[in-house]
Amino acid sequence: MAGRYDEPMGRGDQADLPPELEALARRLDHDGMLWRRELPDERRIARGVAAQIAPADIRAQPPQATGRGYGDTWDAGAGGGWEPPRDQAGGPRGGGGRGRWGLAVGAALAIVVLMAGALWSLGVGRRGPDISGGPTATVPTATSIVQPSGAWKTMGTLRTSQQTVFAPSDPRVAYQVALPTPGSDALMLARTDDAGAHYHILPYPSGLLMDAHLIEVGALVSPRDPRTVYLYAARQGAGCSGTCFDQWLSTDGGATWRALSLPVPGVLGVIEAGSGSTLYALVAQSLVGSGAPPPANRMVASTDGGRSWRLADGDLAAHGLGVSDFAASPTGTSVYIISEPANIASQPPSFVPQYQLWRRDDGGASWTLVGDVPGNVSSGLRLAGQTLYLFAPQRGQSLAASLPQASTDGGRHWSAAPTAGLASDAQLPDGLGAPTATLGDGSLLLVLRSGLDRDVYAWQPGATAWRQVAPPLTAVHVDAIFSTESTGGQTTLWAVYDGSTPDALTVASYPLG
Amino acid sequence: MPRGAVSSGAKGPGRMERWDGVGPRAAGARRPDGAMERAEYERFAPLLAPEQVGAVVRLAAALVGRDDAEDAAQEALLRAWQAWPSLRDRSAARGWLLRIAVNVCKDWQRGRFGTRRRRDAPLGDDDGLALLGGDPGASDAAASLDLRTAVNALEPGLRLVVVLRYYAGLDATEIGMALGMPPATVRTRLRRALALLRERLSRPGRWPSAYTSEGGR
Repeated sequence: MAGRYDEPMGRGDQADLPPELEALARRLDHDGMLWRRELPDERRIARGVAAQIAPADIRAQPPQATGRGYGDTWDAGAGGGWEPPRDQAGGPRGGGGRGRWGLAVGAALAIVVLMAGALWSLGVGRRGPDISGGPTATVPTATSIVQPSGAWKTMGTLRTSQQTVFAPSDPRVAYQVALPTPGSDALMLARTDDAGAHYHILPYPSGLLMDAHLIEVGALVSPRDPRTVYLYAARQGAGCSGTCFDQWLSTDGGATWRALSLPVPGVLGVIEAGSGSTLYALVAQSLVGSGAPPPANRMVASTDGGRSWRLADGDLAAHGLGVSDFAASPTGTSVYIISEPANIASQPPSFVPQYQLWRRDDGGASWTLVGDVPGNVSSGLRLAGQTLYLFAPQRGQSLAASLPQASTDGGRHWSAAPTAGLASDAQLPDGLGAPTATLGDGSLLLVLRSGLDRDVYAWQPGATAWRQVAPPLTAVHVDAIFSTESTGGQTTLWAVYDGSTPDALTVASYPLG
Repeated sequence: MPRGAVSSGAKGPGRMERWDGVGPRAAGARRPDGAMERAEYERFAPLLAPEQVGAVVRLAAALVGRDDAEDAAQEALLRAWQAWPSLRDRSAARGWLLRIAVNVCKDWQRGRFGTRRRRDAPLGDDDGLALLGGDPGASDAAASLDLRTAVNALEPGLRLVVVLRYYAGLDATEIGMALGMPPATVRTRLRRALALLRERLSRPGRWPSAYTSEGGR
């Protein structure tokens, strides 16, 4: 059950960028996150404003109006806003510890809380849910958050001045690739098997021309085999109309390469494991051609470990539809697609495409239309066994408004995940998106921010609350979360995250009990 | 500002104290006491939710510098409250709030707030946009500083969208709302800016040396 990268920037914006600029955009995203660490606390500012403009009767509300659900009541501070109770050292009082100070929302949030008082009154856990402004907030149930025992084990730290791609089936294995530096004609291509402790410098494919026309290189690792890796190169000029892609495959960890042939132009994007030995992948064609609108993405499948690929979306393409996202699962019997109009790239900006959900069952010769995608979102599908998840937060939405939805009947009916079990100050990391993965029991894993911590939660339909499945990570940004299962049935969580050092990624693991 | 020195004045304990009753903001603030205005306040209150205030803070930090971001953000929120009755389409409140924040920051840069004129955040070039700076991290700060220096050296129109996109963390639609331009224009500028940055970063020294990190000149 592999996780996959979630771009820290808006998916829509990212999709607008040509591949050769994506690495720079990610670097800017990272630096922006570092820069934002020093910004003033928005809750404190809101409290200051509310203290000036809130009607007197609201300001005079008794403290318990905001206190229920936190285990503490709040006191009216000297400045007129609500202050959390403090201990003798001046710190926030109470046994909650982590994230407690983040609860000091003050009068501004108190107004929101007043309007949603009925919801709040039911939350009695140590840290209740954040329902700030979400119209689809669900009623939290009484629950307490149990901190998992143990600790994450740091496996290593990788320098990331170049693209780093982790093997979902063993994230200690990673490939690093970078364009030649000025004054050098050497492509940087390396593999580590021990999370950065040692590197193996790899040969690059003989067909890869090192010249000024090479604009981008990248890699992708099979979700099943850490030694099956794909390398692509994008070139412009020198006979290419627009951008040309070449792609190679190695099944021995990058020691040898052979050219990869795909049934349509483009490069393999996301790869997911399906049932049996089947692999599914998206073929991105975003820069093929010159001037003309790029063709839509296609889906391909492989049954020989990723050595050869065939089209797997045939009848959809015939109906003028491209593939915006897909989901497959090793333990599921279906494959799902979110379709989009194949000519979407040539539409004016005001065009609103209709995204639809399609299903194909094993053995079926064609795709079945399930219906419109909830929220008309273009991505965010995950499949865990027979349970389909949709998680596509939009920028500016609160966490409560963007919680994952789940379907256990093939996408016909959806139910939103609860807020119960989440930290009271839980929010989407950096405002948009969150790393996700799935567990063998059909649960969805979700990483959320809570103060300086990053918490890993799991939930599946039927459960009334999320459960925190691992100790918090202290990280600037969690890039990816993976879960692996040993032959003995032991499930291990893996996190790849940015610590305090730029251009470095830490790999850590945590055994699930 | 030398590397490693962080402009963290905004987190000092004195910040909140300045908010209790002095200055042009407090003097102009409406305080509703009647039932009608109380209802108005409750309709306005979602704009004080963390997601909204956070966007204003990030935008303000990008435009006037992190040191003055808190004051500018609060000023923007108070102005929004004062102008709230004039907003007809309240479904567009977020974009409206961001536009107010941009205007407040422009005024801030022009020094319309007397003693609240920006003090330590250096003025950028003629667009008045604060330069990026600050401590990017621990042991490997040079790459970040190179990146910020390159961003600072972009022409004002391109720099503005890059800073708002990547440092303020706004998306193209929000930037368009804040600056009054179509999102497609924002995306076009972003692509252009990224292409320039990529070229310049691959050829160090091509941007004017006068541009250094915040406080460094």
